[in-house]
Amino acid sequence: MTAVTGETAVTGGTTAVDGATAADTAAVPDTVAVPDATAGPDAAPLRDAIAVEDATAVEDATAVQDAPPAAADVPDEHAVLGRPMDAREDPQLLRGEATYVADIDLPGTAHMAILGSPVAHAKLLSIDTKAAEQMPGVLKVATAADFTDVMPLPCIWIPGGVESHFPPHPYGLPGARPVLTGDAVRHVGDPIAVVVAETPRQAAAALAAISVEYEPLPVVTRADAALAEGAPQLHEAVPGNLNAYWTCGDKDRTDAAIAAAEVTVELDLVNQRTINSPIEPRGAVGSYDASTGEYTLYASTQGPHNHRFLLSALVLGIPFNKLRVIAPTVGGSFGTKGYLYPDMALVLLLSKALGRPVKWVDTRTGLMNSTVQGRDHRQHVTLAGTRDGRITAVRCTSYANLGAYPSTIGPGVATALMGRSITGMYAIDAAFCEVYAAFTNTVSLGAQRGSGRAEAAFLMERLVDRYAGEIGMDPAEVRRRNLVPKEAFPYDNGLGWTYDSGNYRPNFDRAIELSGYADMSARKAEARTRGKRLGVGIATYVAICGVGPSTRMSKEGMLGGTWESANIRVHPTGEVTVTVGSASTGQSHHTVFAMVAADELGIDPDRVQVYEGDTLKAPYGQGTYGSRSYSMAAPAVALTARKIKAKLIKAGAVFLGVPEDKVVYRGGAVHEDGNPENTKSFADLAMAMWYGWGLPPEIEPALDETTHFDPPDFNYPFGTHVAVVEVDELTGETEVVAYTAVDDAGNVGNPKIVHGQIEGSIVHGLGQALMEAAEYDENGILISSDLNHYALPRAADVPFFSLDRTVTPSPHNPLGAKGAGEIATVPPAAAVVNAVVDALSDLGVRHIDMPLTPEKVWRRLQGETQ
Amino acid sequence: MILTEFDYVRPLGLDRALDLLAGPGARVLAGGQSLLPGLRAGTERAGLLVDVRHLDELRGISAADGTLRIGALTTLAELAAHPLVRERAPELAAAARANGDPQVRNLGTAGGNLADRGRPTDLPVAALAAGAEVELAGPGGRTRTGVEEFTAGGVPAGSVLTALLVPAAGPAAAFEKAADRATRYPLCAAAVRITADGPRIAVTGATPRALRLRGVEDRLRGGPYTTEAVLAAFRAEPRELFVPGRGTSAEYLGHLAGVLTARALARAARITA
Amino acid sequence: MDLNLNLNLNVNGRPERFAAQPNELLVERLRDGLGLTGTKVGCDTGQCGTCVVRLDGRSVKSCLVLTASAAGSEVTTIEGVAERGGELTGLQEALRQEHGTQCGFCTPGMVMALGELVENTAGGGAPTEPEIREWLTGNLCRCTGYHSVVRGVQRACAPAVEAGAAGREG
Repeated sequence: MTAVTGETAVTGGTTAVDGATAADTAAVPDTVAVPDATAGPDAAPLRDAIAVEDATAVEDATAVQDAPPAAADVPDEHAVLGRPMDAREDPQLLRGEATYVADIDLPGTAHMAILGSPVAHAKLLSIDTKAAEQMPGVLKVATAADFTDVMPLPCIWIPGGVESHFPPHPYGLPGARPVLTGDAVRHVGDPIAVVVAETPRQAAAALAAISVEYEPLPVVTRADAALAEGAPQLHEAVPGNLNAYWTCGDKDRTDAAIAAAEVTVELDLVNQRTINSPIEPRGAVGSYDASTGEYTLYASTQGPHNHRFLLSALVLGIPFNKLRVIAPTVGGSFGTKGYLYPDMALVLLLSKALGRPVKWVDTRTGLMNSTVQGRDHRQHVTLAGTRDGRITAVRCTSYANLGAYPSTIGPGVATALMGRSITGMYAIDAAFCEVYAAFTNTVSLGAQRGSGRAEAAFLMERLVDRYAGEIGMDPAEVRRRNLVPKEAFPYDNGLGWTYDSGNYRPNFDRAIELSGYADMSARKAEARTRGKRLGVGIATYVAICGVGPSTRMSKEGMLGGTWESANIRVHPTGEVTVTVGSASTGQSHHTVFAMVAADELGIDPDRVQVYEGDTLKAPYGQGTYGSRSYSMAAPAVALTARKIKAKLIKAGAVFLGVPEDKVVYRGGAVHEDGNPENTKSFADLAMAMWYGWGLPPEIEPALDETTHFDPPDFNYPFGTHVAVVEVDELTGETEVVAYTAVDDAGNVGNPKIVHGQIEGSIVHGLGQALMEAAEYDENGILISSDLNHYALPRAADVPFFSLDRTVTPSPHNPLGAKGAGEIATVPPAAAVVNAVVDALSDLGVRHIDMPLTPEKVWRRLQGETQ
Repeated sequence: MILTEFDYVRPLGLDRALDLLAGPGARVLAGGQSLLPGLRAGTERAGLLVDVRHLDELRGISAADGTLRIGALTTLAELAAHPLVRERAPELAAAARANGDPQVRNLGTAGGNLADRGRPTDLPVAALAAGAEVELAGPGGRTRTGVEEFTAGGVPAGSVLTALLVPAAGPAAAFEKAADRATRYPLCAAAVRITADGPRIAVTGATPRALRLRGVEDRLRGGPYTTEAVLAAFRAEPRELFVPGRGTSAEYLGHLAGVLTARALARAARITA
Repeated sequence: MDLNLNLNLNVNGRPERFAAQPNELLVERLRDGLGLTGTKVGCDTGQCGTCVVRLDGRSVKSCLVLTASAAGSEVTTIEGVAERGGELTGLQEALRQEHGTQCGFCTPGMVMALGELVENTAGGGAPTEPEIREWLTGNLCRCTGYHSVVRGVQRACAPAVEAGAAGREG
């Protein structure tokens, strides 16, 4: 059967979960290159329902100068968005006043430490906790045996439309991992036991007193090796360690095009595993109130609502109403903190058991051995084309390493997000991608900033350069000849994505111009006089963002809705509170969402307060991931503000004593058309609505509106990056000496914030190219398990960048917004490797695997092959 | 947090410190910038930490009789910035400057860096190239030892490194480093000082410990110090001299040591020219 | 064996007396003992720089200092730089104007480290871009890519008249 697990599909039962979703989704036929892989039948009415008038007109993309700040005392409508405003969060952050999870200190808190496995694969024969229980300050030692009634964590993004295999979950859902493992350990760091003690030191000390007897099992750390005959088996329910074989595109057409091509080029690529490394490690505080039976979880999470649902209904089996999740200030995430982790359940369970708040804060080494890691594909890729530079086909076979257990959404990241994205900015007649997603004895795979799309851009952009070299054409020219033309939008890329809007040529040309690409040969000659080989590398990308349309996502294997919400409440004084379901991990949401509301309502942003991150206070939403907050949550804010405005126009007619069609809403006030003296200010309106006097029955008092926004389809930001590197001829050291990025995130709310996101994203991508690698030894030990062994880019590793943007609004949301937070992480690795290969091209170098360590590059300078 | 337990004493004078160090498990705590990470990681052990950081008698930089006397507790930041050191032992100032990061340099000491046995550090090569000596205080009083001998043996048990004594020979000296990306410790470092008798050359990272390379010095005596000549001189060394480290091969590190030496020699020669 | 030591420390201008174990790190005293949670912990190895404080004026990593060894010294944490909710220092204000913080977790350590650089160069020439970047070697940031922080320092070190004229960006 085509089930998501070896078990039967959902048995009804006690929770609100409609398990049929899982089975139905798994039964959806493969969505290979079919136009109906877009939104479901409800999409059209939905599209009509949202006001898109200011976004539908896709203008010529031009480089933008961001408008200066608004000077007017009374802001006009649309006087706020698009202007660079300072982030209101920053003073608090700069004074060190923000509260992160590690800073939470509830009265009576006890401290939890987790015993992670020191070996990568073994049967657990016995666990002896007696000595630990006797240690000073120890309150509780627990193992899997203490939590037999706790369900495993679920996996909610499975490879869409294909047979897939998961560890079991009692509801027939795909299971991920137990909160503590009792039968076997499957990666270093696999949680075996926990200690709760009076102090963190006592808890940590007691861990050492737990003795565990292991029966070692063979270890496999590579996806391709895990699928080989005789490889060690990780899960009973997953034969051959194969989670799924997933494909997209037209295999026959692609194979035929490649067979018939004038030119074909091939590459074997390793997109190495990386560690996200937010500077704040994860943490969780659980607090159970025996009097009310309510649990509260404070956690460094990107998605408090989502975690509330999954934890209450699918892990703990407690009423949804009895769990409140609060995300305090979160110290960066980049994908890692949207996942469900055992510690979140454990602090809640142990708080109930002990009658005290229980707190757990991870260490850096703990994070590196437990928090999801990124990338990790081994690929064989082929591109076919004509001698005159027309790409005719692209094919990718990828082995994706999911780690020891599926993470909450890892399988979807490794398949759809990567596979459907491989054609990038290019119009390619035939494309096909197949992914073998496998379990290995490594930390679970998840999203890393730019996830899936970065791997896709890497293979495509490496292939394009390889192809350009093969036919002797300038790589810029090859790209130009293959860009999807402006008139082709909306554009079906043949792999399941329908690009919403795009105007690639001006974006591409702007980046080429800004980078000084035309002068590179002179710069190369000059560099040689200094013992440096200068290379230039281009990488373009299209990054699917704005997850998203819920029905469409269900076809991609997402077992949940992916809409977003906002509530706006106008207080009697005319101040405004916006609450959203999203949760910032450093993207200045409070600033930006206030701007959106202020812009729509025509009021000063300083009058708008924003709250998020607390499931008790905020409307439902799925959280911050996939660069979705500005194209999902902000549109919900805008639509809600429009509801407020519409109500004020209705009510204004009553207060002004004129017909509704004579009411003009402007600058936060209403007035009679043609008679500006007959007016009511925003504050007066707010007060009048608070009193509710004189309102007809069809107008409710108060101003309090909510919107749940589910877009008709995704959005597709894009861009062009150009890296210039210098390779030291004697040492092989690579220095990025110039970097140009022209990105298109549609209409941008606050360019200052986006600028910061772009800069940080690029450095993240450069890290993968130059230094970052999660390396496991043959025993499955993570060698790079602390910051002494895992290098992160530092300030001196990067030059200032040359940045610009083009603006091509998305038609899929009322702001014309596209994702921005992670998009610039997508191309840098490809741009840098292209640049280094360019620098070494006269030596016959065609590819170098990342990270580009000096020795690796030096060996190629010596003429060695990879 | 540090889970290993130890006692802590802050002696008021060097003699008291030496008494305490005679006990079992006693270790000197100076800047603590490598000892404390080691204690945190559990790679270092101590029963008693004798904190000498506050002993003024181990501080200060002075010049007399053509020798710079650098108190062992001189911080790397002080060493890097000191006018006398920059002028008369530039390889030492550059090595101090290249160390770690500003916060590590603010606490890390010259003595600690010289005495660190756990990994390649910056100062030993500079001290070797400078032909420096170290002054040690032990139960039997103060002794002076050449840095070459010192880097081979380390600080004798029960002793304290009190000062580095550097011939103040002027500016014809330089230091070059390829830092490990993650730790900022040297992946490989080289220091040179050009003297009337020819160049003194020391490398670390590529070799099991900081070493003067007399063979290379001999081959380069009289110059010229072209990159080709220096690399050839390194290639003539026995292959087993070089060792792998930090995921990097011995072959590459041996080559890198040659490149860094060539660059240091070029810089030192340029200064004198 | 009672390992507790009786120690004095002046923190943000306030004398503090407490008993501490010999193996206690200064960052533990500041965060857990004194509740000064603006100082962060981001790694176990002394790399991340989120715990940087000033010890007798110099920026140091408080995870690489024993509380006992710091005893008798003056410590300044981020809480001692500006009042809670109060006016920002010139450096903080310049960083604010350049959006030199995103998630904010590395920010207190950055402010404490950069404060020393700004003070060192006060009255002299402003630090060059490479000098600023080198000074940030001990502070890891995963959000900003460092550029806005570097611009913030440049702004903070610009001559007073120029800084005043530049004003707020928006």
